[in-house]
Amino acid sequence: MDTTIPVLIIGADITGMTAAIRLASMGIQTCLVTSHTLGRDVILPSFDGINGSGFHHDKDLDDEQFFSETTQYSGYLVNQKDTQEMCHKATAVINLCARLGVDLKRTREGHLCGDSVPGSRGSRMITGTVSLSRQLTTVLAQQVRFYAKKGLIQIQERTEFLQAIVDDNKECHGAILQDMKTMQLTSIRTQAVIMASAGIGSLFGRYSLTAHHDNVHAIMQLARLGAAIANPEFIDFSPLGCVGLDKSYLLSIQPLFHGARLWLHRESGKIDLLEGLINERPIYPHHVAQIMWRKQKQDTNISLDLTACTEELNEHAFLKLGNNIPVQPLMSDWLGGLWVDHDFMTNLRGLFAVGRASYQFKGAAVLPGNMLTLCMYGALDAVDHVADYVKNRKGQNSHLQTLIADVLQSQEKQNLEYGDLTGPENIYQLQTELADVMYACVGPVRKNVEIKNVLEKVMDLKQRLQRVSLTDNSRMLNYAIFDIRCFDNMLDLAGIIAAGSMMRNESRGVHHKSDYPVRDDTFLRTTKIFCDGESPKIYYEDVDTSLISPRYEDSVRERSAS
Amino acid sequence: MKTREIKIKRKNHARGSSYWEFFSITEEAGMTVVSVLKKIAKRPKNRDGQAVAPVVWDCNCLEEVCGACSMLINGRARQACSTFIRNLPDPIVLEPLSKFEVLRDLKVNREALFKDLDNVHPFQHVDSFDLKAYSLERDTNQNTLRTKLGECIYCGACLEACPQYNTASNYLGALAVAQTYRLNQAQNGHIDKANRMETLLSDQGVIGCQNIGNCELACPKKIPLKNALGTLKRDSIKTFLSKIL
Repeated sequence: MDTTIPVLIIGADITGMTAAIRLASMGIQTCLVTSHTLGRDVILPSFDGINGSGFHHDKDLDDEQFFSETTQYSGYLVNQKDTQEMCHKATAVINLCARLGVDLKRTREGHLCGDSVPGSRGSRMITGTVSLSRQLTTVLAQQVRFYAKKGLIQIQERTEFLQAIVDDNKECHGAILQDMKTMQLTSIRTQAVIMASAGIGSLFGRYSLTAHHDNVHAIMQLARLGAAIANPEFIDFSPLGCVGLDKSYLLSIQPLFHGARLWLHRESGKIDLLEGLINERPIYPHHVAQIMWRKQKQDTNISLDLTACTEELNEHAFLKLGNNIPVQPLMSDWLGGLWVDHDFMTNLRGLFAVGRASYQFKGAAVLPGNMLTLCMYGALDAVDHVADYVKNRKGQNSHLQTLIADVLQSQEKQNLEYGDLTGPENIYQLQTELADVMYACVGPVRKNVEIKNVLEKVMDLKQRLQRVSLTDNSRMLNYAIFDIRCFDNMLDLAGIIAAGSMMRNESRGVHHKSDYPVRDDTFLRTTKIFCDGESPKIYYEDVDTSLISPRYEDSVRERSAS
Repeated sequence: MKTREIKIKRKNHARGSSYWEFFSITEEAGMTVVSVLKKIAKRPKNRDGQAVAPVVWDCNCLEEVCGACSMLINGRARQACSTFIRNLPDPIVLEPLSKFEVLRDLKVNREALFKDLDNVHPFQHVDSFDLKAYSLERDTNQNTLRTKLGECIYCGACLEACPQYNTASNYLGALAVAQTYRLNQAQNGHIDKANRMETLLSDQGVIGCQNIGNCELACPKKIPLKNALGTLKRDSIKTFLSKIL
């Protein structure tokens, strides 16, 4: 089967849906592909809140301050002009949410009511009355359905992206998709492809705060074709998380502002207070995570105690959890992604990456409350460039027919190969083993010796993957075969994360190495990794620091290092 | 370590017939139904030791936000990710939702739910998607019922529990009908209000509800659905009277 449509969007989370709606309102037809059903792709369940300024309760909050905090927070590893533009549009994103019908937290008089953000002055985070990401997903899904009825958006549910169609000139012409319901492969020809969803939640398994199916499969497939991956070593860890059997649950960082204490339960039975966090302004969550990680490595369990909290916190629901909550730092999001230029285009012409799939504003996402902004703003900004590109695109490649047939055939062959694997190993067991190693070795604080373990484990798992047996032989909704394909890609990305981390011999923002505890501005550059050859090639690219020059203020970091 | 019996209603493909399969697993602390299914996938063998295909089910966020993993657990529609097995009696019986088309094992197609929702015009008209400098408007309409309805995760538990929601009746179910209240109260809600009230007055609307109240008991988010439906009944009578007078 072969269809043609102007734009293909992969991933129907907040980013993908926003892009599809904007393109539809411009009159451009799109195809929206999701591996779930529309409106259930809540990849970021625990990210709640959007930062902004100019609120009624605090007229002094301004965007410039917000921008400078964002930059400082990210360890200066963001392109400043682009980020400044995003910060200036953040309030407009809040307004768009309100117009879409999202219930935001307001005072009794009806004004927006902000929450304080760690690392920021003033109360600039606007939250929803109930989970903001859930509400946004719902309202956007309803808009998508509205445009789908008009014929402007074609929704493909339960469909997995397998491979992009890329010719020898590194130009993207479409993609190969697999309908999981029938297991049929289809090719789709497009003018432009937008990659809108990707995270590394599945690499960290139960230690991740993102959704269960948050996998890196698509990004790695594109990287193999020549798209560069940027900043893979930056992984954000949230300090106050509870680990479960399948995934982890995020607790708000708010208690640390209001006098909550962290107790260290040592193996000898001694209980100590973790000092040096209270009265520390601003509190940087990733510094807290790093301190906690060090303590945790010394056979110490940490618990959160809320008895000394001030009354302001009483509204928070998690007070019901009691006063002895076991906490540990857990993986919250990946700050890397596909490398993109100013127009959100990757190295492959015609392939765009926005939101969580691109590295563009990801550095800014360390500041809590910036994630949803970058998803929505990224999508709306990128779409203008996509529309221009689609309009100006010249005629199609004449060899396209044979190219598509080749790619389709190779993918079908690969599926058969995965299906033929036999042996004693189980794919879900391997996933768990990878997650354990990833959490232990590329956690909040790293060491070069430990990072080597990841590379060894990846080599080991690569070999064991050949001895995996396919436990499911069904011709319908067979996820086992797809999981094997995903795991192959997950291993490659784990290797890239380890390689990037190994090369960056410094500590900056969320990336902290105990061998090199200080910031080294020779590394004030974006890591750019190409993986289309035999082994990954690492380059460094300069960061735009034209507006704010880097300063040193990392008092907590230095104290924890000493 | 306690061994638990799991009884799962399986179906190999949409047109196949259903059958029961038994599994036994060792219970761990803090195990949810999702952990059970994941544990089965790691060692896909039934109680008799025969190798079988791992169970297929839907899940995404695992913290009761996406509403994907609804299934019948010991006969009640619940979310697999938030149901801890230590509170469940033996054997643990897992079935797919009965009111939707079963695709495979515990995976169902809930497209019908969103089709029903379409009847109540579930979107707000947005003038443009530009990020221009708009002023932040005041919204004085603060309403707890509206806020609570915003918590809906579209899992379909209320429809599963409702005896009035079936193939023989046109009733849209508590989910779509109750959402009407929230949609009407939103900032631009008045635009489609007349259309929504028309749906409510037809045989798809509030007339179908017989005040049984199962929906509210089944709702994982504890949304006061009875209250919402009652309010809507009063509103629709008002609309009806103003129409004929």
